[in-house]
Amino acid sequence: MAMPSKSRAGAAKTRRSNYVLVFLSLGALTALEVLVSSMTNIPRVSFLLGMSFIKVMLVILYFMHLRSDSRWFGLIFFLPFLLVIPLLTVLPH
Amino acid sequence: MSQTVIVHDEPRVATTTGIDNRKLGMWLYLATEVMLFSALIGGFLTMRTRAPADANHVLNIPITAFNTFVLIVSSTAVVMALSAIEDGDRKRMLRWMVATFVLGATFLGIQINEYRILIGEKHLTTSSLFGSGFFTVTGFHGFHVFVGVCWLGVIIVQTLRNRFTTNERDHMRFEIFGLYWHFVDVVWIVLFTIIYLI
Repeated sequence: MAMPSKSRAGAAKTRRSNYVLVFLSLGALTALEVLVSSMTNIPRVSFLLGMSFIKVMLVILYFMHLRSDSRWFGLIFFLPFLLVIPLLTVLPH
Repeated sequence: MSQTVIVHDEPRVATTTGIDNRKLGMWLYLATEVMLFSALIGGFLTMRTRAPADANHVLNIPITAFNTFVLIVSSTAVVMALSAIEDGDRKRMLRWMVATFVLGATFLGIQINEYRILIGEKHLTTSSLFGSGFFTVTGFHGFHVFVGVCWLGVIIVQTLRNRFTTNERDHMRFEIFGLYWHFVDVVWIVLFTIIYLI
């Protein structure tokens, strides 16, 4: 059954609000990353990698719609990481 | 007042998986890109461990942070354009597309300027392991941004000629472009942290 135009407009507005929220989060995290990169009294690398991971997941889940799209896409996209993680662990050593 | 375009839906092509083949193809392509960039980043990290720890002191972090922000804004512009297509609002769609195009071109302009400064200071691909890794990884990424900007340029021209509208087929075409663009953004988020900040 087709979604009534009023509720469709409401859903579109909510979606746009989510995009703005994700954008603000990404901007704030980028600023925080720059701030953290100049600090010396904290585990800098862990913080930076953590923030980068959060940013990546925000883009993938909300902008690339993996949160609401078919799970097959997620499986296809994340499967190569099974090869990537050992590669990135072994290569620098 | 927003301009509404009549939507001419094309019949959906039924697939055994229920998944659109074009979208499936793009996700498969992105999976191969994950492997490509992982190999590049892995290679960069290997070189990085053999180069001096402060090899990235020559890089300009504030300008690159701004460039990262530019790419994030462009990704937001893409989802806003997609949202406008879903609303059947051609004028808004075109506005966000042009914004994305300008932001993508700005990113490339800043990156080219960064290369110009580094080459001017004799930091070349042949001068150090760090330089070699840096230009290879960021160059590959920059090429992907260039391809995305060209792709979007074609879509904008088609929109101006009314050959790209807000119908279901074109919605999917733009969604596929969006997946590519967001992936390029994701790669840059990782590169910014690994190359510039750590």
